[in-house]
Amino acid sequence: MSITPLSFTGISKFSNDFQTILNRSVSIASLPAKLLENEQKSILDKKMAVADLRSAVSDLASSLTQAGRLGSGGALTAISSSTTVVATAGSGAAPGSYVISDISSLAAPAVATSASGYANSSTAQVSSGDHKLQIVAGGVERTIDLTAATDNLEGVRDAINRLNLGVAASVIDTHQEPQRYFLSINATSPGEQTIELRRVADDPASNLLEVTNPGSNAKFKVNGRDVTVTSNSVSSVVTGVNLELKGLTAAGEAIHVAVSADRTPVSSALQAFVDAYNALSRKVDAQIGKNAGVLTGDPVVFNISDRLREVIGFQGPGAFRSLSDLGITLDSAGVMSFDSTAITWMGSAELQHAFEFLGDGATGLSSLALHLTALSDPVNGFMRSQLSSYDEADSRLTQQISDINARVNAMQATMMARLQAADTLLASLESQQNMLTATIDSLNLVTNGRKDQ
Amino acid sequence: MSDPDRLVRELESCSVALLEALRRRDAIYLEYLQRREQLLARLFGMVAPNTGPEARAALERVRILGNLAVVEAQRMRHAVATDLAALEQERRIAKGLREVCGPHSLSLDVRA
Repeated sequence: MSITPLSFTGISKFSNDFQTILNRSVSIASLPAKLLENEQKSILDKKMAVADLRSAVSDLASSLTQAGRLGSGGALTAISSSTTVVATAGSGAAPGSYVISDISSLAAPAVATSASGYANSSTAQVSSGDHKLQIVAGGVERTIDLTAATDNLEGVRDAINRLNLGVAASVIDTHQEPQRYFLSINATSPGEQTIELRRVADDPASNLLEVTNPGSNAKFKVNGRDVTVTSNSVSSVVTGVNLELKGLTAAGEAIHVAVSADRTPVSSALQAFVDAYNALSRKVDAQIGKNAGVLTGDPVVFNISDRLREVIGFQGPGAFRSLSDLGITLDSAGVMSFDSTAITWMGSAELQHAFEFLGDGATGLSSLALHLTALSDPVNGFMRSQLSSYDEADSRLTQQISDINARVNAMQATMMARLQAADTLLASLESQQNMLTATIDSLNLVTNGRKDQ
Repeated sequence: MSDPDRLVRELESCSVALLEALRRRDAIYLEYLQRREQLLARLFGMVAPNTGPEARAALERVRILGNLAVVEAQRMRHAVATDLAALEQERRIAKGLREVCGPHSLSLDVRA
């Protein structure tokens, strides 16, 4: 609630005084509200500053977490010697090399189509008259119960699709009269399988379909060993490595897949870490010292400073002891920088030391992300609770301001009424006294020839 | 007793009642104020040179009573101004709130 200024429209010679009284009283009564509004602005500034810091802390935690993923995964990438096989290294992959050969077959879904066409897709009867069919798909046999109204291609299609047997049925219109409509049933996933639609249950001879494609499995060799799988995306053969088969190999062709550490993501992750550190450090510095911001002396700033010192002072458990071993240094102004050539020229053994230093999220440098997350967590973090306390203070002040303004408005209205009454009384009395004085003066003039008696 | 004389006496008693009502801060003063105005308006056209000395003396008393009523009305205005002075208390509350809600106040310290 805001204060609505009232304007005094008096009629006595004291009207200006009355307006002054009113303005002065409203001004005084409004003072607490103005002070509280100033406090509200201060709280808002603090909220924005904490939110800004929280975002920067979260960024640093994320960069450490990402470094930990590289540390645990060894920053492995898989490279294939041919586009026939696309290899991708994922979680659990290990360095190594593999030979893919003899891709003799790619996985394909089975497809079957009705042997005969039908003149009409919505009226031509499919069953032998009993409105029953039997479908065989994925090694499962199911009876399809139709009615006189649904015993047609469209009815059969819909019934098959409702069964969820891993096949999809559709009606094909060939536009070749007179029997232009055919029923097509295809498996929804690759692999060999039998698809039949029988008019007589358990009688393969009554099958209405003929095989368009029997379906096939992917067949190839890994390091000379035969592999047969039902998909062209193969992740169950080499742990942590996905092989995407795109075609067949030529006779005698061998495709080499190498899984090894890649330095590029390591450099990128360390640069991101350094950038996030510097961004947070700048924001913290802005809250410390002679020209500190609104969070000067706030425990949040001290907490973050402690965490930053923890990061720069981290000592690795292995051969790499400090950030400088990764090419990360801190200048006299506290600004961190990263020399990526330190990673580029690392040998395999040194790279492993680097991964060990980075850790796996629970150990090593990356484990410090947990300490930072304890501050920045959007639900349970320390900074979240700080923001919540600001919210509570803000809403408490809002209520107090509203109460004060309501009181001022009421006071103003009451005072206005009292002033109006006093003003009217004075104006009336002034008028009456003037009239009376005029009467007496007139009497004296007539009687004595002068106003005063 | 002539009509003007009666009118003057009625005006005098009305002025006395008005003054007493104002001193009591009784809202009935509004009625006396209105009545006094009506009587004055009637009297204004009735006074004549032959008005007796008693009536003249009564008129003078009415004027004095009116002046006293003005003084009383100004006291009422002064009462409003006195209430204004009481608002200084609000100012002190404001100062107290500033201390409570200050930058290092306990109310905004999450550790408190």
